[in-house]
Amino acid sequence: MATTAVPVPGVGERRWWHTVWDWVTTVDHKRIGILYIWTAIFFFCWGGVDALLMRIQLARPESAFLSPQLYNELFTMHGTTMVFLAVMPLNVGLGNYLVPLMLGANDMAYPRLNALSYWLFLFGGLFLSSSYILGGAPDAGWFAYAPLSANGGVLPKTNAMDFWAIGLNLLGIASILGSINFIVTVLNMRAPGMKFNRMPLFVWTQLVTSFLVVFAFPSVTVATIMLFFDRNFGTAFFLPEKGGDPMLWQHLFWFFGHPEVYIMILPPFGIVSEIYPVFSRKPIFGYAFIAYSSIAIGFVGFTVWSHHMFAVGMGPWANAAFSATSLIIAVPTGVKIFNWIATLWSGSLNFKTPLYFAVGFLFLFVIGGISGVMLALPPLDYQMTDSYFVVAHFHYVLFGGAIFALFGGFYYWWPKMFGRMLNERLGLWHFWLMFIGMNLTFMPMHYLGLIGMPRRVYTYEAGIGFDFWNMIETIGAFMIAVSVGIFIWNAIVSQRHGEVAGDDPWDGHTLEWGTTSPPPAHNFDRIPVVRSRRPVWDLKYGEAQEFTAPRDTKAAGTTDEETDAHHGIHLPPPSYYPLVLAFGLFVAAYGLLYIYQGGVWGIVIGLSIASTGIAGIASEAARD
Amino acid sequence: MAQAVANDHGEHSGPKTHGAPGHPPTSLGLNNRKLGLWTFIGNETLFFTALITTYLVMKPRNIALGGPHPQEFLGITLTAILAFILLMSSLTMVLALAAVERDDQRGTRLWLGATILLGLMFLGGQAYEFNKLWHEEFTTLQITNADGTTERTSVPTHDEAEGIAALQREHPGAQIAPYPNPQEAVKPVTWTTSLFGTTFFTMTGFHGTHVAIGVVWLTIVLIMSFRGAISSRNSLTVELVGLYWHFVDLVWVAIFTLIYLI
Repeated sequence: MATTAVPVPGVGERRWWHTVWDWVTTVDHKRIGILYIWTAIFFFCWGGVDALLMRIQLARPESAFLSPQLYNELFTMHGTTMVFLAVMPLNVGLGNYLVPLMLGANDMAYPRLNALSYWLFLFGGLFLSSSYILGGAPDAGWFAYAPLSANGGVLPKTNAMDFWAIGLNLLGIASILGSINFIVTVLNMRAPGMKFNRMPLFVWTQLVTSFLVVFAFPSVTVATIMLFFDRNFGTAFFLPEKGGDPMLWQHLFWFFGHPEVYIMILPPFGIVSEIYPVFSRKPIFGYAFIAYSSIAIGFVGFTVWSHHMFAVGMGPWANAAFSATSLIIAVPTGVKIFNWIATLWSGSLNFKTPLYFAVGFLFLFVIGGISGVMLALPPLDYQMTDSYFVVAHFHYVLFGGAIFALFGGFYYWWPKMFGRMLNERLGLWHFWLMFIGMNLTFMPMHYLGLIGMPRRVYTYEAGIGFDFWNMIETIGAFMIAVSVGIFIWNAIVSQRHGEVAGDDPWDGHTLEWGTTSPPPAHNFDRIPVVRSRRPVWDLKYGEAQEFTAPRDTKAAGTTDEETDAHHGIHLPPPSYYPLVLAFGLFVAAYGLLYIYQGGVWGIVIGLSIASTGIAGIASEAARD
Repeated sequence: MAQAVANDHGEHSGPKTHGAPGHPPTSLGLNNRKLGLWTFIGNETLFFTALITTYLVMKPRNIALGGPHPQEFLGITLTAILAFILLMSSLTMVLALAAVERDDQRGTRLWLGATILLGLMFLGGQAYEFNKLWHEEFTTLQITNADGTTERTSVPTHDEAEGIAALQREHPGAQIAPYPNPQEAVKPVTWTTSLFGTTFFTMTGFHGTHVAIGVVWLTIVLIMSFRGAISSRNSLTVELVGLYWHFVDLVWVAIFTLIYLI
């Protein structure tokens, strides 16, 4: 690979803008993965600042730090940001980086579409966030319950929820395209011998997650389009005073919203399923159960949505049915938990930061899972819904669950992605501060919820038993913030001073550890041949003498010399058209937002730019 | 000769189907682009399911609120013709793919052109129906049956006499008179005047948009064909647009059955 330095057209010396241009036009799944991860970390911090501001407001009773309106905006944007701009893209980023490597592929199935997904995600995030400076951020909650979100002719008209409705569609397109890409990659790009039942469990969860995205997102797409129509064009889908049905919004939203929960948590399940066996130095226990329980969760996940709506009056039959399915879905989840415990059991544990986070995940997720089972019971839910108990529950599953697993994944794969180890001491500081801070912040919320503290309310009276624990929660929240700061510091410092990782620092067994750290642009010089679930283990300790099969295909239109230089692997050239297409839709989104202020021109211009992008991508694809 | 070339079309080249010309074989033996389009169609199915479900959920609500009955407005005749046109376009689409697979350039262009034409006819018919619904004035009537029960109904104003005569035939022995409360008179069916109009125009509008996108896509393929860029070697280009086109037709079958017939 040393002979093929990336040529920069017409310039001898590489300048910083060449590097920027390389990243802007990249179609390499690894670079796109890194872009996803850093962008998502940025939005994670932004959503975290939203949370800190809310915690400052709630630290003292009757505080005037935030106005009620700003508080509404902050909790709406905190939820929206963390769901769509942090957890989902962190999952997608890791998946983007790892899925082709784990499958022994050279790239995703559609590299340009992959870039398009990233740019749409970035522009969707910027679009949503720009609402802060363009008349106020969305303020009706991340679930945007109608008729509040539809204005209902009562509230003054602002653009806030239009930002939300349009922004979600930009992000939705990004997610759907990304998921189609993942599905085709997993189904079609596996190395020889990589049967479904040999795929790493992280790949399994990404596959199921992608199907969930493909089938769940249309519901919220339709809902947000109707919301936009109600708000701007005089329809009445969700406006009761004109005959519309606010319940319809809740059904359409949660038909998406509950699978969304599994979209966020399944890839973290996959991450810990990779960490436990490597750091226990034994194979995963119950591979098939873990893989197929993900599919079970995927199916049952589509039948539980109305447990978000027990209190709205669907009647005892509907409540009972959705309660039953919600209890059933705890079974495949429990199957996973016992398999993970069995993997750790009597393993030779290598207690490094990734395993700390993965074990922390297990503790915290089980707590969140149990409070989830409690909330699945309508009589209890009547009491607890809209209280801080619910806030405690979903932060234990999404922060204690998803975020802990994701950080574990970062400590595990960072050496692969950047070639250097993250500092272990800083990693442990990060873990313990985050673990203690997390429990200080969210454990008291169970209690506050049970004694009646309502969520989404900007303040509370002094002397009714809320004061002490709210102060503790705020302290905990700042501990979490410090721990995230330590991680970012660790990531930056290790880039320069970290210990050089080598190809396989953790004694891993999945295919990504069978290439260099970081891997070359084409991932593998020769296509790996897979004979078991642990191909790299076979190579190191097993009977497998050879790892690879010679390439039997040669890229059309390349000379022998070129073929040799790239080991016969054809990678698509860099392209700026995905960026052009995404930018066109970004412009059109603003046009739609200001439709009554001449925005039609924005739509026309935006769609023209987008068409240029489509034409460019199509012609490049035809040349490939 | 066509058989010897690595073909994107599974039937000819067996299990070692290539991802694209010059690319390695795929794990499932199914072309990447085709698999991707199938997945996208899965996504679109749920999209239209949500729209059609919304229509069906709103239908009884619309009637309970005194909104117009769909049967009063939707002429089955026109829609049946439109459905026929769209189904015929699926046939011409199949013929276009068959033509390109045997490298019949004239046939490819002919059948692609026919598909585009039928698509445009469908869109024209839909525009006509939308326009007619939007501007149609209605006379609201009350039917008093022989047993004393009353029903509210309406007939197109310009055909009032004939409409009343038809109602008389359907309700023998009933009294038909102008509706007593003008407040509840049936308004023209626009996007915003009733839940029926809102859900109907949203659903069929999105379907029409999909047809229009299909027409644009077909036109691009037709232009490519005239430039000599389409042959049996890349018949997948035609097959993909065909898949999408058949899906859009199938959605119309669902809409036609659930909205017009039931």
